[in-house]
Amino acid sequence: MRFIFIFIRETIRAITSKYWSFIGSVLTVFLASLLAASFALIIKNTGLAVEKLKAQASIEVYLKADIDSLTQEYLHGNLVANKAILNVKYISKDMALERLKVTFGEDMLSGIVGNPLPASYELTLEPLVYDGDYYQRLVDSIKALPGVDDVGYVPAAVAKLKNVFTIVAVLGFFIGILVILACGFIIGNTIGVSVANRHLTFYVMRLVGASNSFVRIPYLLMGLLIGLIGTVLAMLVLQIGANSFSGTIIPIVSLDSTEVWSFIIAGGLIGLMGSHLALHRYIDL
Amino acid sequence: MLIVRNLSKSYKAGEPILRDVSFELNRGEMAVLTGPSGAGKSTILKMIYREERPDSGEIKLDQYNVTKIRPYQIPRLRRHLGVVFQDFKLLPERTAWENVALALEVAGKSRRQISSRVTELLRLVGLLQRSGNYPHQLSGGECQRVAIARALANQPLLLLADEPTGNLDRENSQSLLELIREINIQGCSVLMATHNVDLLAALPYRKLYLKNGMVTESIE
Repeated sequence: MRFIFIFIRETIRAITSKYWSFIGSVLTVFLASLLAASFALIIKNTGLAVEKLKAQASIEVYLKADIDSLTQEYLHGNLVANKAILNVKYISKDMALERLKVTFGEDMLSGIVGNPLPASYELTLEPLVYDGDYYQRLVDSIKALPGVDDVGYVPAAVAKLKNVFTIVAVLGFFIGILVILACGFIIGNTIGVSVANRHLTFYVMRLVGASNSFVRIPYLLMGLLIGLIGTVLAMLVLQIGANSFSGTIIPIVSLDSTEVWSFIIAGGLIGLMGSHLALHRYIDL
Repeated sequence: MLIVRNLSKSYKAGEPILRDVSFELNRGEMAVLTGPSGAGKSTILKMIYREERPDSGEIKLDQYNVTKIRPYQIPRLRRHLGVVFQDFKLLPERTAWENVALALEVAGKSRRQISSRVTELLRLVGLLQRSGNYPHQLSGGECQRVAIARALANQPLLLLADEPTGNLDRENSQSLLELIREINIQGCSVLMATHNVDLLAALPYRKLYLKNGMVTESIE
Protein backbone atom coordinates (compact mmCIF):
# COMPACT_ATOMS: atom_id res chain seq x y z
CA MET A 1 0.00 0.00 0.00
CA ARG A 2 2.80 2.41 0.94
CA PHE A 3 4.46 1.64 -2.40
CA ILE A 4 1.28 2.65 -4.25
CA PHE A 5 1.43 6.05 -2.56
CA ILE A 6 5.13 6.38 -3.44
CA PHE A 7 4.56 5.34 -7.08
CA ILE A 8 1.71 7.83 -7.47
CA ARG A 9 3.83 10.59 -5.98
CA GLU A 10 6.81 9.70 -8.21
CA THR A 11 4.53 9.60 -11.28
CA ILE A 12 3.21 13.07 -10.46
CA ARG A 13 6.81 14.24 -9.99
CA ALA A 14 7.79 12.77 -13.38
CA ILE A 15 4.80 14.44 -15.06
CA THR A 16 5.19 17.85 -13.45
CA SER A 17 8.94 17.99 -14.12
CA LYS A 18 8.15 18.14 -17.88
CA TYR A 19 4.44 18.88 -17.97
CA TRP A 20 4.42 20.58 -21.40
CA SER A 21 5.88 17.47 -22.90
CA PHE A 22 3.21 15.42 -21.10
CA ILE A 23 0.38 17.66 -22.34
CA GLY A 24 1.82 17.56 -25.87
CA SER A 25 1.87 13.77 -25.82
CA VAL A 26 -1.68 13.55 -24.50
CA LEU A 27 -2.84 15.91 -27.30
CA THR A 28 -1.04 13.89 -29.96
CA VAL A 29 -2.48 10.63 -28.69
CA PHE A 30 -5.88 12.33 -28.55
CA LEU A 31 -5.66 13.42 -32.21
CA ALA A 32 -4.33 10.06 -33.37
CA SER A 33 -7.02 8.17 -31.43
CA LEU A 34 -9.68 10.51 -32.80
CA LEU A 35 -8.50 9.75 -36.34
CA ALA A 36 -8.47 5.99 -35.73
CA ALA A 37 -11.84 6.03 -33.94
CA SER A 38 -13.37 8.16 -36.72
CA PHE A 39 -12.31 5.53 -39.22
CA ALA A 40 -13.80 2.84 -37.01
CA LEU A 41 -17.03 4.82 -36.94
CA ILE A 42 -17.05 5.21 -40.73
CA ILE A 43 -16.34 1.48 -41.20
CA LYS A 44 -19.09 0.57 -38.76
CA ASN A 45 -21.67 2.84 -40.40
CA THR A 46 -20.72 1.78 -43.95
CA GLY A 47 -21.03 -1.87 -42.90
CA LEU A 48 -24.43 -1.21 -41.36
CA ALA A 49 -25.52 0.63 -44.50
CA VAL A 50 -24.48 -2.33 -46.65
CA GLU A 51 -26.45 -4.71 -44.43
CA LYS A 52 -29.47 -2.41 -44.47
CA LEU A 53 -29.39 -2.09 -48.24
CA LYS A 54 -29.05 -5.83 -48.58
CA ALA A 55 -32.13 -6.34 -46.45
CA GLN A 56 -34.08 -3.75 -48.45
CA ALA A 57 -32.85 -4.78 -51.89
CA SER A 58 -35.35 -7.48 -52.68
CA ILE A 59 -36.05 -8.39 -56.33
CA GLU A 60 -39.57 -7.81 -57.60
CA VAL A 61 -40.65 -10.30 -60.29
CA TYR A 62 -43.69 -8.82 -62.09
CA LEU A 63 -45.99 -11.38 -63.65
CA LYS A 64 -47.63 -11.10 -67.04
CA ALA A 65 -51.32 -10.14 -66.83
CA ASP A 66 -52.39 -13.21 -68.79
CA ILE A 67 -50.27 -15.77 -66.85
CA ASP A 68 -52.07 -19.08 -66.43
CA SER A 69 -52.04 -21.03 -63.19
CA LEU A 70 -49.83 -23.81 -64.59
CA THR A 71 -47.12 -21.36 -65.70
CA GLN A 72 -47.36 -19.50 -62.38
CA GLU A 73 -46.98 -22.79 -60.52
CA TYR A 74 -43.94 -23.65 -62.64
CA LEU A 75 -42.46 -20.20 -62.07
CA HIS A 76 -43.04 -20.37 -58.31
CA GLY A 77 -41.46 -23.82 -58.11
CA ASN A 78 -38.49 -22.59 -60.13
CA LEU A 79 -37.93 -19.61 -57.84
CA VAL A 80 -38.29 -21.66 -54.65
CA ALA A 81 -35.80 -24.25 -55.94
CA ASN A 82 -33.17 -21.60 -56.64
CA LYS A 83 -30.53 -21.77 -53.87
CA ALA A 84 -29.62 -18.10 -54.29
CA ILE A 85 -33.12 -17.10 -53.23
CA LEU A 86 -33.78 -17.07 -49.51
CA ASN A 87 -37.48 -16.29 -49.53
CA VAL A 88 -40.25 -16.07 -52.13
CA LYS A 89 -43.34 -14.03 -51.28
CA TYR A 90 -46.35 -13.71 -53.57
CA ILE A 91 -47.88 -10.22 -53.84
CA SER A 92 -51.28 -10.31 -55.48
CA LYS A 93 -52.68 -7.39 -57.53
CA ASP A 94 -54.93 -6.42 -54.57
CA MET A 95 -52.02 -6.49 -52.09
CA ALA A 96 -49.93 -4.33 -54.43
CA LEU A 97 -52.72 -1.73 -54.64
CA GLU A 98 -53.12 -1.74 -50.85
CA ARG A 99 -49.39 -1.09 -50.44
CA LEU A 100 -49.57 1.77 -52.91
CA LYS A 101 -52.47 3.29 -51.00
CA VAL A 102 -50.54 3.07 -47.75
CA THR A 103 -47.50 4.69 -49.38
CA PHE A 104 -49.24 7.53 -51.23
CA GLY A 105 -52.64 7.81 -49.45
CA GLU A 106 -56.14 7.14 -50.68
CA ASP A 107 -56.66 10.70 -52.01
CA MET A 108 -53.66 10.65 -54.32
CA LEU A 109 -54.92 7.45 -55.94
CA SER A 110 -58.60 8.42 -56.14
CA GLY A 111 -58.34 9.00 -59.90
CA ILE A 112 -57.19 5.46 -60.64
CA VAL A 113 -59.86 3.28 -62.14
CA GLY A 114 -59.66 -0.45 -61.43
CA ASN A 115 -56.28 -2.02 -60.55
CA PRO A 116 -53.54 -1.48 -63.14
CA LEU A 117 -50.84 -3.06 -60.92
CA PRO A 118 -49.43 -6.48 -61.80
CA ALA A 119 -49.14 -9.40 -59.40
CA SER A 120 -45.55 -10.15 -58.42
CA TYR A 121 -43.12 -12.26 -56.46
CA GLU A 122 -40.93 -10.52 -53.89
CA LEU A 123 -37.59 -12.31 -53.57
CA THR A 124 -35.13 -12.03 -50.71
CA LEU A 125 -31.64 -13.14 -51.73
CA GLU A 126 -28.83 -14.92 -49.91
CA PRO A 127 -26.28 -12.25 -48.75
CA LEU A 128 -23.41 -13.65 -50.87
CA VAL A 129 -25.44 -13.12 -54.06
CA TYR A 130 -24.67 -9.37 -53.91
CA ASP A 131 -21.00 -9.97 -54.63
CA GLY A 132 -19.60 -9.88 -58.15
CA ASP A 133 -21.53 -10.60 -61.39
CA TYR A 134 -23.66 -13.33 -59.89
CA TYR A 135 -26.40 -10.84 -59.00
CA GLN A 136 -26.81 -9.64 -62.59
CA ARG A 137 -26.78 -13.22 -63.95
CA LEU A 138 -29.51 -14.20 -61.50
CA VAL A 139 -31.70 -11.24 -62.57
CA ASP A 140 -31.18 -12.17 -66.25
CA SER A 141 -32.09 -15.82 -65.62
CA ILE A 142 -35.29 -14.82 -63.78
CA LYS A 143 -36.23 -12.45 -66.61
CA ALA A 144 -35.99 -15.39 -69.03
CA LEU A 145 -38.47 -17.54 -67.10
CA PRO A 146 -41.97 -18.02 -68.62
CA GLY A 147 -44.72 -15.78 -67.28
CA VAL A 148 -42.31 -13.04 -66.18
CA ASP A 149 -43.14 -9.61 -67.53
CA ASP A 150 -40.34 -7.64 -65.91
CA VAL A 151 -37.88 -7.70 -62.96
CA GLY A 152 -37.37 -4.75 -60.63
CA TYR A 153 -34.08 -4.57 -58.71
CA VAL A 154 -31.43 -2.20 -57.38
CA PRO A 155 -28.77 -2.50 -60.05
CA ALA A 156 -25.33 -3.08 -58.53
CA ALA A 157 -25.87 -0.47 -55.79
CA VAL A 158 -25.22 -2.98 -53.09
CA ALA A 159 -22.11 -4.31 -54.78
CA LYS A 160 -20.77 -0.77 -55.20
CA LEU A 161 -21.39 0.10 -51.55
CA LYS A 162 -19.70 -3.12 -50.56
CA ASN A 163 -16.65 -2.09 -52.58
CA VAL A 164 -16.60 1.26 -50.74
CA PHE A 165 -16.89 -0.61 -47.47
CA THR A 166 -13.92 -2.83 -48.37
CA ILE A 167 -11.76 0.17 -49.34
CA VAL A 168 -12.65 2.04 -46.13
CA ALA A 169 -11.98 -1.07 -44.04
CA VAL A 170 -8.56 -1.70 -45.62
CA LEU A 171 -7.63 1.99 -45.35
CA GLY A 172 -8.85 2.03 -41.75
CA PHE A 173 -6.76 -1.03 -40.95
CA PHE A 174 -3.55 0.54 -42.25
CA ILE A 175 -4.31 3.89 -40.63
CA GLY A 176 -4.95 2.00 -37.38
CA ILE A 177 -1.52 0.34 -37.61
CA LEU A 178 0.12 3.69 -38.37
CA VAL A 179 -1.69 5.34 -35.46
CA ILE A 180 -0.57 2.57 -33.07
CA LEU A 181 3.06 2.93 -34.19
CA ALA A 182 2.93 6.73 -34.07
CA CYS A 183 1.35 6.78 -30.61
CA GLY A 184 3.88 4.27 -29.30
CA PHE A 185 6.72 6.33 -30.75
CA ILE A 186 5.39 9.65 -29.38
CA ILE A 187 4.74 8.24 -25.90
CA GLY A 188 8.13 6.53 -25.97
CA ASN A 189 9.83 9.81 -26.90
CA THR A 190 8.05 11.73 -24.14
CA ILE A 191 9.06 9.15 -21.57
CA GLY A 192 12.57 9.13 -23.07
CA VAL A 193 12.92 12.90 -22.67
CA SER A 194 11.62 12.69 -19.13
CA VAL A 195 13.97 9.81 -18.31
CA ALA A 196 16.97 11.57 -19.87
CA ASN A 197 16.19 14.67 -17.79
CA ARG A 198 16.06 12.64 -14.62
CA HIS A 199 19.25 10.68 -15.10
CA LEU A 200 20.54 11.76 -11.67
CA THR A 201 17.32 10.63 -10.02
CA PHE A 202 17.67 7.15 -11.54
CA TYR A 203 21.32 6.98 -10.56
CA VAL A 204 20.64 7.98 -6.95
CA MET A 205 17.60 5.71 -6.66
CA ARG A 206 19.62 2.73 -7.79
CA LEU A 207 22.54 3.75 -5.62
CA VAL A 208 20.42 3.67 -2.49
CA GLY A 209 19.05 0.25 -3.40
CA ALA A 210 15.94 0.84 -5.49
CA SER A 211 14.86 -2.21 -7.44
CA ASN A 212 14.28 -1.98 -11.19
CA SER A 213 10.52 -2.06 -10.75
CA PHE A 214 10.68 0.79 -8.21
CA VAL A 215 12.45 2.94 -10.82
CA ARG A 216 10.33 1.79 -13.76
CA ILE A 217 6.78 1.78 -12.39
CA PRO A 218 6.28 5.60 -12.21
CA TYR A 219 7.30 5.89 -15.88
CA LEU A 220 5.12 2.97 -16.94
CA LEU A 221 2.24 4.68 -15.11
CA MET A 222 3.05 7.92 -16.91
CA GLY A 223 2.88 6.15 -20.31
CA LEU A 224 -0.36 4.44 -19.26
CA LEU A 225 -1.84 7.81 -18.26
CA ILE A 226 -0.85 9.47 -21.55
CA GLY A 227 -2.50 6.63 -23.48
CA LEU A 228 -5.63 6.55 -21.33
CA ILE A 229 -6.23 10.31 -21.10
CA GLY A 230 -5.62 10.76 -24.85
CA THR A 231 -8.06 8.00 -25.86
CA VAL A 232 -10.71 8.91 -23.26
CA LEU A 233 -10.73 12.50 -24.57
CA ALA A 234 -10.91 11.22 -28.17
CA MET A 235 -13.84 8.93 -27.29
CA LEU A 236 -15.68 11.76 -25.56
CA VAL A 237 -15.27 14.12 -28.51
CA LEU A 238 -16.18 11.43 -31.05
CA GLN A 239 -19.28 10.23 -29.21
CA ILE A 240 -20.53 13.75 -28.50
CA GLY A 241 -19.77 14.73 -32.12
CA ALA A 242 -21.45 11.63 -33.58
CA ASN A 243 -24.56 12.08 -31.42
CA SER A 244 -24.96 15.77 -32.28
CA PHE A 245 -24.22 15.25 -36.00
CA SER A 246 -26.48 12.20 -36.30
CA GLY A 247 -29.80 13.02 -37.94
CA THR A 248 -28.75 16.45 -39.23
CA ILE A 249 -27.73 15.00 -42.63
CA ILE A 250 -27.56 11.22 -42.26
CA PRO A 251 -28.22 8.96 -39.29
CA ILE A 252 -24.98 7.89 -37.57
CA VAL A 253 -24.68 4.92 -35.27
CA SER A 254 -22.07 5.81 -32.64
CA LEU A 255 -19.57 3.31 -31.17
CA ASP A 256 -21.05 1.00 -28.55
CA SER A 257 -19.61 0.66 -25.06
CA THR A 258 -17.53 -2.44 -25.94
CA GLU A 259 -15.91 -0.61 -28.84
CA VAL A 260 -15.27 2.49 -26.72
CA TRP A 261 -13.67 0.42 -23.94
CA SER A 262 -11.60 -1.47 -26.51
CA PHE A 263 -10.19 1.84 -27.76
CA ILE A 264 -9.45 3.06 -24.24
CA ILE A 265 -7.77 -0.21 -23.23
CA ALA A 266 -5.77 -0.24 -26.48
CA GLY A 267 -4.67 3.37 -25.77
CA GLY A 268 -3.51 2.39 -22.30
CA LEU A 269 -1.62 -0.64 -23.60
CA ILE A 270 0.09 1.40 -26.33
CA GLY A 271 1.13 3.89 -23.62
CA LEU A 272 2.56 1.09 -21.51
CA MET A 273 4.43 -0.40 -24.46
CA GLY A 274 5.84 2.99 -25.49
CA SER A 275 7.17 3.70 -22.03
CA HIS A 276 8.48 0.15 -21.62
CA LEU A 277 10.53 0.47 -24.81
CA ALA A 278 11.74 3.97 -23.85
CA LEU A 279 12.95 2.74 -20.46
CA HIS A 280 14.92 -0.03 -22.15
CA ARG A 281 16.34 2.41 -24.66
CA TYR A 282 17.30 5.25 -22.35
CA ILE A 283 18.29 3.48 -19.17
CA ASP A 284 19.99 0.18 -18.77
CA LEU A 285 17.66 -1.65 -16.38
CA MET B 1 33.89 -8.06 6.69
CA LEU B 2 35.19 -6.62 3.42
CA ILE B 3 37.63 -8.81 1.54
CA VAL B 4 39.16 -7.61 -1.72
CA ARG B 5 41.32 -10.24 -3.41
CA ASN B 6 43.49 -10.03 -6.52
CA LEU B 7 41.36 -7.36 -8.11
CA SER B 8 42.32 -6.34 -11.66
CA LYS B 9 40.64 -3.94 -14.01
CA SER B 10 41.50 -2.24 -17.28
CA TYR B 11 39.39 0.05 -19.46
CA LYS B 12 41.84 -0.20 -22.39
CA ALA B 13 43.60 -3.38 -23.42
CA GLY B 14 47.15 -3.44 -22.11
CA GLU B 15 46.63 -0.47 -19.77
CA PRO B 16 45.45 -1.92 -16.46
CA ILE B 17 44.15 0.60 -13.95
CA LEU B 18 44.22 -1.96 -11.12
CA ARG B 19 46.59 -4.92 -10.85
CA ASP B 20 46.12 -7.66 -8.34
CA VAL B 21 44.78 -5.37 -5.59
CA SER B 22 44.11 -7.10 -2.27
CA PHE B 23 43.12 -5.77 1.15
CA GLU B 24 40.68 -6.43 3.95
CA LEU B 25 38.57 -4.27 6.22
CA ASN B 26 37.27 -5.52 9.53
CA ARG B 27 33.88 -4.79 11.01
CA GLY B 28 33.90 -1.34 12.64
CA GLU B 29 37.23 -0.42 11.06
CA MET B 30 37.96 2.78 9.15
CA ALA B 31 40.54 2.95 6.38
CA VAL B 32 41.65 5.58 3.89
CA LEU B 33 42.31 4.69 0.28
CA THR B 34 44.76 7.16 -1.16
CA GLY B 35 46.89 7.77 -4.19
CA PRO B 36 47.21 10.23 -7.06
CA SER B 37 44.28 11.23 -9.25
CA GLY B 38 43.42 8.48 -11.71
CA ALA B 39 45.06 5.79 -9.56
CA GLY B 40 41.84 3.78 -9.43
CA LYS B 41 40.48 4.74 -5.98
CA SER B 42 37.00 5.49 -7.28
CA THR B 43 37.10 2.36 -9.45
CA ILE B 44 37.63 0.21 -6.37
CA LEU B 45 34.68 1.86 -4.62
CA LYS B 46 32.52 1.46 -7.73
CA MET B 47 33.36 -2.23 -7.81
CA ILE B 48 32.38 -2.58 -4.16
CA TYR B 49 28.95 -1.05 -4.75
CA ARG B 50 28.78 -2.98 -8.00
CA GLU B 51 28.61 -0.18 -10.50
CA GLU B 52 31.67 -1.67 -12.17
CA ARG B 53 32.82 -5.26 -12.47
CA PRO B 54 36.47 -6.33 -12.19
CA ASP B 55 38.21 -8.19 -14.99
CA SER B 56 39.40 -10.67 -12.39
CA GLY B 57 39.55 -11.05 -8.64
CA GLU B 58 36.94 -11.20 -5.94
CA ILE B 59 35.14 -8.87 -3.54
CA LYS B 60 33.24 -10.20 -0.54
CA LEU B 61 31.12 -8.05 1.72
CA ASP B 62 29.65 -9.89 4.69
CA GLN B 63 27.47 -12.64 3.15
CA TYR B 64 27.65 -11.18 -0.38
CA ASN B 65 30.11 -12.25 -3.01
CA VAL B 66 29.90 -8.90 -4.79
CA THR B 67 31.62 -10.06 -7.97
CA LYS B 68 29.29 -12.99 -8.41
CA ILE B 69 25.89 -11.67 -7.35
CA ARG B 70 23.13 -11.58 -9.95
CA PRO B 71 21.77 -8.22 -11.17
CA TYR B 72 18.50 -8.62 -9.26
CA GLN B 73 20.49 -8.95 -5.99
CA ILE B 74 22.32 -5.62 -6.48
CA PRO B 75 19.60 -3.45 -4.87
CA ARG B 76 19.73 -5.63 -1.75
CA LEU B 77 23.54 -5.35 -1.61
CA ARG B 78 23.35 -1.57 -1.95
CA ARG B 79 20.95 -1.29 0.97
CA HIS B 80 23.82 -2.65 3.08
CA LEU B 81 26.14 0.07 1.77
CA GLY B 82 26.19 3.82 2.11
CA VAL B 83 27.90 5.87 -0.58
CA VAL B 84 28.98 9.52 -0.39
CA PHE B 85 30.38 11.45 -3.35
CA GLN B 86 32.41 14.58 -3.86
CA ASP B 87 29.49 16.20 -5.75
CA PHE B 88 26.92 15.06 -3.12
CA LYS B 89 24.47 13.66 -5.72
CA LEU B 90 21.47 15.09 -3.93
CA LEU B 91 18.26 15.34 -5.91
CA PRO B 92 17.68 19.06 -6.48
CA GLU B 93 13.87 18.90 -6.63
CA ARG B 94 13.66 17.25 -3.19
CA THR B 95 14.17 18.74 0.25
CA ALA B 96 16.88 17.50 2.61
CA TRP B 97 14.21 15.44 4.37
CA GLU B 98 12.98 13.88 1.10
CA ASN B 99 16.51 13.10 -0.05
CA VAL B 100 17.18 11.13 3.11
CA ALA B 101 13.71 9.53 3.11
CA LEU B 102 14.22 8.22 -0.43
CA ALA B 103 16.75 5.62 0.75
CA LEU B 104 14.22 4.33 3.29
CA GLU B 105 11.32 4.38 0.85
CA VAL B 106 13.10 2.15 -1.64
CA ALA B 107 13.79 -0.29 1.19
CA GLY B 108 10.05 -0.48 1.86
CA LYS B 109 10.05 1.13 5.31
CA SER B 110 6.75 2.34 6.77
CA ARG B 111 5.95 6.05 7.01
CA ARG B 112 6.37 5.96 10.77
CA GLN B 113 9.77 4.26 10.49
CA ILE B 114 10.85 6.73 7.81
CA SER B 115 9.75 9.73 9.86
CA SER B 116 11.56 8.55 12.98
CA ARG B 117 14.77 7.53 11.17
CA VAL B 118 15.02 10.70 9.07
CA THR B 119 14.58 12.84 12.18
CA GLU B 120 17.29 10.83 13.95
CA LEU B 121 19.71 11.13 11.02
CA LEU B 122 19.19 14.83 10.39
CA ARG B 123 19.71 15.44 14.11
CA LEU B 124 22.94 13.40 13.93
CA VAL B 125 24.30 15.51 11.07
CA GLY B 126 23.05 18.72 12.72
CA LEU B 127 20.53 19.69 10.07
CA LEU B 128 17.14 18.93 11.61
CA GLN B 129 16.26 22.63 11.54
CA ARG B 130 16.97 22.74 7.79
CA SER B 131 15.10 19.57 6.81
CA GLY B 132 12.66 21.51 4.59
CA ASN B 133 15.43 23.19 2.61
CA TYR B 134 16.29 22.22 -0.95
CA PRO B 135 19.94 21.48 -1.86
CA HIS B 136 20.34 24.87 -3.56
CA GLN B 137 19.40 26.50 -0.24
CA LEU B 138 22.17 24.65 1.62
CA SER B 139 25.92 25.21 1.72
CA GLY B 140 28.36 22.62 0.33
CA GLY B 141 29.12 21.32 3.80
CA GLU B 142 25.44 21.03 4.62
CA CYS B 143 24.75 19.21 1.34
CA GLN B 144 27.46 16.70 2.15
CA ARG B 145 25.95 16.18 5.61
CA VAL B 146 22.59 15.44 4.01
CA ALA B 147 24.35 13.01 1.66
CA ILE B 148 25.91 11.28 4.68
CA ALA B 149 22.53 11.09 6.41
CA ARG B 150 21.10 9.47 3.28
CA ALA B 151 24.01 7.03 3.10
CA LEU B 152 23.41 5.98 6.71
CA ALA B 153 19.65 5.66 6.35
CA ASN B 154 19.53 1.87 6.11
CA GLN B 155 22.19 1.32 8.78
CA PRO B 156 24.83 0.13 6.32
CA LEU B 157 27.61 -2.33 7.09
CA LEU B 158 30.04 -0.11 5.25
CA LEU B 159 30.16 3.60 4.38
CA LEU B 160 32.03 4.33 1.15
CA ALA B 161 33.14 7.93 0.81
CA ASP B 162 34.63 9.02 -2.51
CA GLU B 163 36.54 12.30 -2.02
CA PRO B 164 33.86 13.55 0.40
CA THR B 165 35.72 16.76 1.15
CA GLY B 166 36.69 17.48 -2.45
CA ASN B 167 34.21 20.35 -2.77
CA LEU B 168 34.57 21.72 0.76
CA ASP B 169 36.79 24.32 2.38
CA ARG B 170 39.19 23.39 5.19
CA GLU B 171 36.77 24.22 7.99
CA ASN B 172 33.91 22.25 6.49
CA SER B 173 36.26 19.39 5.65
CA GLN B 174 37.40 19.13 9.28
CA SER B 175 33.85 19.27 10.50
CA LEU B 176 32.81 16.56 8.05
CA LEU B 177 35.70 14.34 9.09
CA GLU B 178 34.60 14.70 12.70
CA LEU B 179 31.16 13.51 11.67
CA ILE B 180 32.55 10.51 9.76
CA ARG B 181 34.75 9.65 12.74
CA GLU B 182 31.71 9.78 15.02
CA ILE B 183 29.81 7.50 12.67
CA ASN B 184 32.71 5.06 12.71
CA ILE B 185 32.86 5.13 16.50
CA GLN B 186 29.18 4.21 16.53
CA GLY B 187 30.12 0.97 14.72
CA CYS B 188 29.86 1.62 10.99
CA SER B 189 32.88 0.56 8.94
CA VAL B 190 34.23 3.30 6.68
CA LEU B 191 36.35 3.19 3.52
CA MET B 192 37.24 6.67 2.36
CA ALA B 193 39.01 7.53 -0.87
CA THR B 194 40.95 10.79 -0.92
CA HIS B 195 44.07 12.34 -2.40
CA ASN B 196 43.96 15.33 -0.04
CA VAL B 197 47.36 15.34 1.66
CA ASP B 198 46.31 17.76 4.44
CA LEU B 199 43.39 15.54 5.25
CA LEU B 200 45.55 12.41 5.30
CA ALA B 201 47.79 13.90 7.94
CA ALA B 202 44.78 14.57 10.16
CA LEU B 203 43.50 11.01 9.88
CA PRO B 204 44.93 8.53 12.37
CA TYR B 205 43.65 5.57 10.43
CA ARG B 206 45.00 2.75 8.34
CA LYS B 207 46.02 4.01 4.90
CA LEU B 208 46.02 2.05 1.69
CA TYR B 209 48.30 3.63 -0.94
CA LEU B 210 47.34 2.95 -4.47
CA LYS B 211 50.05 3.49 -7.09
CA ASN B 212 50.55 2.07 -10.56
CA GLY B 213 47.46 -0.04 -10.11
CA MET B 214 48.67 -1.76 -6.95
CA VAL B 215 48.30 -1.26 -3.20
CA THR B 216 51.93 -0.54 -2.40
CA GLU B 217 51.74 0.22 1.26
CA SER B 218 49.40 -0.38 4.12
CA ILE B 219 50.02 1.38 7.42
CA GLU B 220 48.01 1.09 10.63
